Amino acid sequence: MAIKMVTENEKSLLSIDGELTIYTAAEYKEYLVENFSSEQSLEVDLAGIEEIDTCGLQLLAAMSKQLSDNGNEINIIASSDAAKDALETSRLMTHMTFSTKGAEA
Amino acid sequence: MSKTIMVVDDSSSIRQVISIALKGAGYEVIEACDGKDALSKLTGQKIHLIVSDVNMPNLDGIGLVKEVKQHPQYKFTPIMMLTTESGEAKKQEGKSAGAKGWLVKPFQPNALLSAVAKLA
Amino acid sequence: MSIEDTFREEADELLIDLEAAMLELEEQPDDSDCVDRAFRAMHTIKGSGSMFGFEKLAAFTHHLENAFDLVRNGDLQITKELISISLDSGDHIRLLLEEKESNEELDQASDELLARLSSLVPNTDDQDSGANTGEANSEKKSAGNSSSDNTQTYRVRINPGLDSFANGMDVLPILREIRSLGPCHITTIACDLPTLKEADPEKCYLTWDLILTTDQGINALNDVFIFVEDDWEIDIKVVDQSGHWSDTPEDKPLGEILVEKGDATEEQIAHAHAQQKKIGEILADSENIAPEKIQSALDEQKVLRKQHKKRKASEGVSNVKVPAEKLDILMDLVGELVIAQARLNQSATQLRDPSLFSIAEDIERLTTELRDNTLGLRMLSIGTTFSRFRRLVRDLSNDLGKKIDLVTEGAETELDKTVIDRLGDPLVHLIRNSIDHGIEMPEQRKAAGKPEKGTVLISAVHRESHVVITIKDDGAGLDAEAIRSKAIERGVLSEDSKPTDQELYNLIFDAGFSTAKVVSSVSGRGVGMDVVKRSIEELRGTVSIDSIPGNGSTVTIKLPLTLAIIEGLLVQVEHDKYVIPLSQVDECIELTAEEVKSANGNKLIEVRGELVPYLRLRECFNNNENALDIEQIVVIRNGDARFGFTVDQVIGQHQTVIKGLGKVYEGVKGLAGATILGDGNVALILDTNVLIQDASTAQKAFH
Repeated sequence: MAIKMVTENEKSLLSIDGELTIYTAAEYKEYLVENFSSEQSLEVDLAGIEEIDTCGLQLLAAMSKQLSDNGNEINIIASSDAAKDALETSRLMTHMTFSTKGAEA
Repeated sequence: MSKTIMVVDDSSSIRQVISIALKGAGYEVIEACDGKDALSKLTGQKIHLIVSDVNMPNLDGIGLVKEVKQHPQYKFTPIMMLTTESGEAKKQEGKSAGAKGWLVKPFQPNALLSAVAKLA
Repeated sequence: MSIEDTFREEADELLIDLEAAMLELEEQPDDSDCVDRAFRAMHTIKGSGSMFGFEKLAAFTHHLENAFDLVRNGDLQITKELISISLDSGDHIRLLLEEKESNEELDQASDELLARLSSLVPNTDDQDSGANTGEANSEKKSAGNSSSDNTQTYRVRINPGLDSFANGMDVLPILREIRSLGPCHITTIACDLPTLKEADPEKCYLTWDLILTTDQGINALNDVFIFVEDDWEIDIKVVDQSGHWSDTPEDKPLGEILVEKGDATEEQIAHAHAQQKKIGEILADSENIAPEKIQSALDEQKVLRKQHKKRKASEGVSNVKVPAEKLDILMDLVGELVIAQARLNQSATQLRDPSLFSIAEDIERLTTELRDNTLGLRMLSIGTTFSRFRRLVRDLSNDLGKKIDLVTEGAETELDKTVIDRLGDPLVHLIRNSIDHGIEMPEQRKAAGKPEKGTVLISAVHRESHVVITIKDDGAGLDAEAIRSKAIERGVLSEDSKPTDQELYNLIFDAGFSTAKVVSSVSGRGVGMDVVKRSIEELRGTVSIDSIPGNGSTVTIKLPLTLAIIEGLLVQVEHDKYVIPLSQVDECIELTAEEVKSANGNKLIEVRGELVPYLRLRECFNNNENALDIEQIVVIRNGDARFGFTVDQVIGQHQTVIKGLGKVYEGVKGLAGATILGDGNVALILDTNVLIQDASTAQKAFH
């Protein structure tokens, strides 16, 4: 599975690789329900994303919403071209902060 | 990453015309000559869109849509129908079976690309 | 004004435009912009003409329109002959505008012009003389041309519905396609999105708000949704449209946008308004409206504001036509208001009531603003007058066989409409003079080592509260000696006086001088120059001429921006009050009885080493030889010289609404008008030019 959550020192890092679409959404949701907590801020690494659709974006939005309700932040620290394009097109993450590092592996 | 489109038509000339247009626009193309052939080629690789004729031997377009919607791996794949008849009836039949778009033959390559862009 | 008059006026402007376009085309035959202008002018005249019953006019203009259409399409070349026909046709159209009914003479002229035209135009469709058929054709074309101005702003709300993803419909391709249509603000609204745990990951909980500005038309936008329109909720609304008077105010309130979109209720907005905070914050905080929705409404507001601004900039040239009399009435009322306000000020000062005082201050500020704005309404750019001259210069130089370039500068300079209207004739006269007598024939110029082509430069520039217009030519200049001898002969100049060249030159404005017809052939100047001077002085302006022999001459006209209201210096002489235009005032100094004595009867005072002649207003208007021990002298700048007026007391600055003197006093020398003071009394406005002139003549006679 190309999704991994690492939590240490009150900070979580979520990396997702490959496909974040309706085909993987159900599976990833189960993983996130187990591993995601809105109690601490989240960093997301999307550098390995090859494909992402609105359904995948919605998963990120759901986390983002819960985090901000708890006063925490979601921070996309890296994104591939595909991820960047989707995020920009939908302006889904307007209230998320973007790192300027861009697409690096 | 380029997107993959499956083109299903029993007329090889039409398949060719569509393939050339799609490849020219940067898509990967998988060709199938009818519904049955198409199903047999759904073997796990990622397919972003199926463009299918309606009237075909073995398994027609409507039948293909129904099958794909049941397919565990491909149930979310959008399907665009190519209709020769401008008749609403077939279009509606395809829609209710789960086809997402349609294009009336004959069409210009640009019309095809514009329609494909809405779905994939 | 009848509709016909309005049409005539409009047609006249269009003809000026046609003329200007032709003259520009003469220089640059491939300027397609000019061709378009000419075409539009003819098109509009034809269209409106046939609507108001000017059938002959419409039929005639049709052929010209047709010709320019051919030019636009590259089927006809701009040639000298075409330009010349067009100019003549413009003049002819003016006649047709006057003469609605059939008139043999005019018909013949029409035929002649059209015959000339048809020799240029390949197979002009002669049976197509009915204005209507032509109209239909060109209408189609202009509709096609204007499509570039079809920018619209849409508000689009997309709600794909819960099953959209499962149905294989992704939103991103749709959003991408919409973005390709034009500048687009997208807001993803996630307020209905449940928590991760509760959410079905394959269902779509999101909706989108878009603000799209595009010139592709509604069909292109609808086309994006062609596959999803049956399944998704899609709401498209035009929120801004070019070419329409938008019913939305400049800044649509945020609350209104939210209510319109159904994101907030009137009550919520009203409730939020009751608090003194930013409405967006309140709505988000206490009324439970999703911040994305507010963000989207804010985006819309921003986009609309930008569109309006852009529109405004491009529509800046569109005007509302108001009859000049209405402006005059408005100006009169503003004048009355200024006077009333002065009275209010005075009362407030006398009553020492602080509250009244603050009201008076407010009214003063508003009055000043109102006055400036009203004056602004009457301002026109001088450019329209300039464009008249291009025709004049062209025709005159052709007639005389001279080669002349007309250069204009500062065409955008604004002046009061009345001033501009009355300025035309004097300027024409001056330019005519420059061309007739100033600029030499090409061979003469060549011999003198000058370029064959002479130049007449007209420029207008703002300088403080004045507009300075100069007409400069690079011709032969004035002959000071010839003027001198003629002036002596005419008795304008005494034989032993030694005027400077500059003074000599300016003698040509002298009435006694310029009535002598012979002068024109000697000095090359003179005829009618006194009329010019009088016209300019009637506009409270000044005119002077300078010349460098062999290098040309320069006429400088200085005009006030407006005729209606001036800033004046209020002074008192015995019991009477006078106003001196503040723009002329240099300084105020004291004059003691001792200084008067030491000047030995000469009315001169030394101001920082310079002797300044002065005039005692007491003597002038009151026939009172008695002087106060200390008088005040108001020193005026008059051209390069300075001149003083002694007064009893300088009261201060006064906003002066100029009123006519009425029939009885109209002829009184030295008075330019009257004004009503705050206390209801009348003050007379001094015409300093006349007073100075009189005083100088008197003094010269005395010497």
